[in-house]
Amino acid sequence: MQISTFLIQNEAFAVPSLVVEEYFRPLPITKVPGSNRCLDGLVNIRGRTAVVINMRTCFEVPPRDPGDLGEMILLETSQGLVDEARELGLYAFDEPVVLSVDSVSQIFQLAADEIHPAPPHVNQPFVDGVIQLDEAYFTMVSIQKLIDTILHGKTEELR
Amino acid sequence: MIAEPSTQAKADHKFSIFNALITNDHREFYEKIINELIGVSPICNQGKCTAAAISETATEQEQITELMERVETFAAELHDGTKNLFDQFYAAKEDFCRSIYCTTAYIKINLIDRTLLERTCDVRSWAVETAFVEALERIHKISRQLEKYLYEMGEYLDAAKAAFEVPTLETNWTMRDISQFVDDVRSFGPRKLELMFNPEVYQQFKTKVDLLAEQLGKGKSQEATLAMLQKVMKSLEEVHTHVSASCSRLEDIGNSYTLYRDLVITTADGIIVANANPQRRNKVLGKSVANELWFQRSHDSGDANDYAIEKTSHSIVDSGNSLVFSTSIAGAAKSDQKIGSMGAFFDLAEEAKIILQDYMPRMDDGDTRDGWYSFFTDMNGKIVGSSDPDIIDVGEQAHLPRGHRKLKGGGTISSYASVEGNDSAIFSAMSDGYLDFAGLGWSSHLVVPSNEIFASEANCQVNGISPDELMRSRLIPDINKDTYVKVQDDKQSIKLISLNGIVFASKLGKRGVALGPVFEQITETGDFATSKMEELLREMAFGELRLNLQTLETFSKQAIDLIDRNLFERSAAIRWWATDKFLWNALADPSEENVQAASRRLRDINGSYAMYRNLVLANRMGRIIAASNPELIPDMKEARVADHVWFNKAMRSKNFGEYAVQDVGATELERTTRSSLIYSSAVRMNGSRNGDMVGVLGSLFDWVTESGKILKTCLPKDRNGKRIQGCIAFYASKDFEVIETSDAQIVPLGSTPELPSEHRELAAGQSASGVLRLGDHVYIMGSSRSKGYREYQGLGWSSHILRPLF
Repeated sequence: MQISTFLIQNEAFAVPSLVVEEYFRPLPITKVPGSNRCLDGLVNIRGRTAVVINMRTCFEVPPRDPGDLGEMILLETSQGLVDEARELGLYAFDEPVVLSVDSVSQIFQLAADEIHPAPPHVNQPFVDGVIQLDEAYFTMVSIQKLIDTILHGKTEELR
Repeated sequence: MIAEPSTQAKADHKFSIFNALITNDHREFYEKIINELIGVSPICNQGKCTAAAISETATEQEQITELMERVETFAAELHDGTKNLFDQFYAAKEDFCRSIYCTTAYIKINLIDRTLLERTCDVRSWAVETAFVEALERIHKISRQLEKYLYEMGEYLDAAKAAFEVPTLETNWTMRDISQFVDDVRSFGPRKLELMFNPEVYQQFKTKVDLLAEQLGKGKSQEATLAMLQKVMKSLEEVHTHVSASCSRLEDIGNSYTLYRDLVITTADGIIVANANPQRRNKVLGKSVANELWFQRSHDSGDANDYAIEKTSHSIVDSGNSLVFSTSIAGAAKSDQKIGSMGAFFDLAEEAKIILQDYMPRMDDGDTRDGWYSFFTDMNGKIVGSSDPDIIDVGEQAHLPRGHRKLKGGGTISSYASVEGNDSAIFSAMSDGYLDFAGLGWSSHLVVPSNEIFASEANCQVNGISPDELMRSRLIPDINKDTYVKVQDDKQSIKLISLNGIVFASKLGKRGVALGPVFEQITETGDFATSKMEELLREMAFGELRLNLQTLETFSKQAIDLIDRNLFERSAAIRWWATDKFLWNALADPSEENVQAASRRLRDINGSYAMYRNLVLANRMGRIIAASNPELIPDMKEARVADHVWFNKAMRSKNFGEYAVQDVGATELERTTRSSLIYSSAVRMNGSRNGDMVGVLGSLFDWVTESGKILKTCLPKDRNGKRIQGCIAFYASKDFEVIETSDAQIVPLGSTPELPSEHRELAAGQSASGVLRLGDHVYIMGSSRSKGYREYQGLGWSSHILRPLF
């Protein structure tokens, strides 16, 4: 499996490449009042509206310096998911979702057994496991938990 | 000598790998980037072919092809960007060097102008000294009498000789003996000038006269001849008294003002009657300078306030390379009657050496680096001073590009030319005088090897600042910052393009495997090119930083040099004034009249020297008896200075012509200014070397105003000559306490800022530069330590110029 990594406050996180639709530069965000504090607002990507989840807020680290807009990752919708992803049981939301991260990093090829369950002391709701690659560790982010917690039942009001 | 310019035009700002100025490092650099970028096109073609082979749908193929095209466009943009970057790099360096080295050339000519201005004041104030006027008038009068006396003496001697033809009983001398004596004395008759001005000839004559007089005294009816001889001797004696008094006065002045090779006083006919240099005295006194230009010009000048400056290396007075400041001396009664001239032989060769060898990079052994030259030319383009006379010959015509020969006052120019076979850049600045001194139309030239201007900065590091911090600082011009942002932006773009490509390929499953390496290669190439460009930008930034540090060092050096030279003048002036007749008169006999005369004299002196707040005269007990501005002293009647440093030090001085100084600080003698710098010198009876000490003269230098003015002059300016915002200049005492500052809020007076050790441990005359953090502010700073000037030692101060980074 191929994984895509990104940085949040110099810490490396990863998602499967198959759930990534596109990387892009930060777009202007329209704020949505009264929404979950992990939601930055809405962006318009070539005519499609996507909700922006701020990964810094999700992992409870302080916001970036003003002026540093980071980078964005557009996730695949359940409709756009390729067969291979479905076979692997990867999760996708019905609507376009964007993760706002500090910066997109590298892409790795990886065997399934290289993903370990998160150690018990990791008290993070959005973590699926830990990847060890050579000397480095990556935290595997659970898209499903992320969306369940932040977006579930909220789609109506967001629209 | 300098060869005619090979390339007179400025370096072409459009980058070309063939431009001779491009360093080898950069050629290699450029080639690597270009090679990588050229490689992009085949990779993209390969990608497009692969896409065609593996795509199942037209949309898929289109997507890949579009990605590849984006990469290609991007590579082309990077190529242009690299070229632009090199353009900027070389243009910026050239610009900056032009600004700093033209400024350096200007500082040098300005230092000369400032010195020359002081010199014009010197000669004019000395020429009005009553002692000289009196001496000249007496000598003139006696000289005319002497003419007559010597003639008459001849006739008397002839008569005496005739009288001895008749033998008498009273003497045992034969007629032959007497006749020999008479002839001896008589032979001196036509040697009037030697008799007047050559002590040896005068002594010989005196011996002969004594011998003859003894004999004549024995004979009868020789009273008239004896009286005649006595008259001659008396006149000569008086002349010699005046000459030796004038000489020792000039010598005293010369000892305080060591920048003169000699000082001479001549009669209106150009006969030298006194000089300052005892070594040259017997070669100079009594000689005529009537045919020397400096004398003729002084004679043609208007009144005593008028002066002439003439360069000479062939004077009877001195064969060195001098600049003669001359003025006429007016009679005491009629100020329009010229009774003589004064000539001050300023040591141009030494002064030019000091200035020209300064502000130049040195090798470890202290010699100036090869290929660097600095020289002055006069208005005809002749070299008048050179940092290396073996290569740039003084007295020769300088071979300079045309533009450098037709500068206007204060103007600067730079161009490339071959100097001594070296590709060099010449930076020139023309004098624009200083205050009311118009200057001599001289120019200052600085030769820098071109390869040093464009030397690689790749390994440049400056402690205390990171490359990123530097890139964001105010030092970096917006155009470079924009390029930096653009390169980082490009870096991001190419990263996102390749990552998207890889993700896209991965979704094609097995079919996408072939595309993987293509995108990996693109990522690598993009990374390489953009990192190289970032490197180049950082090199550029450090180059800019280094030149800025160098500029600040230059300005700090200027700041300390200007104050050292200013204080040299102060230390020279106080010693001279302390010998003034009115002052010792008032101290020896403090009658109402004498004290008033002394006060008047102090006011007069202070009137022509605006840089003093007050001149005070204290008696041996430490009471102020006279002052030029008594109203500035809080309670003059009660003022006691016996425990003041300036007074004590001067009273303890052992030798005549010493001065003392009280470092910058508050004084009870001042009501309205926060700090003064006080120079002092003991006043001796009769103003003479072995006279008793009768009091002390103190001068309160207007430190706050004068040092503030200089600090302002030395604040950095941008390329358009406008002062750069937020810069600070300050002077620190030897204990690093701030004694004057251009910004009392950030660098308060009396504070001791925490300076890096390289800046604290400077040896005299050395400079350093680096980063300084003061609270929230980050500055770059240039510092220089005082080295004094000539015999003025300096007070161990340092000057610091700060430029904000943010």
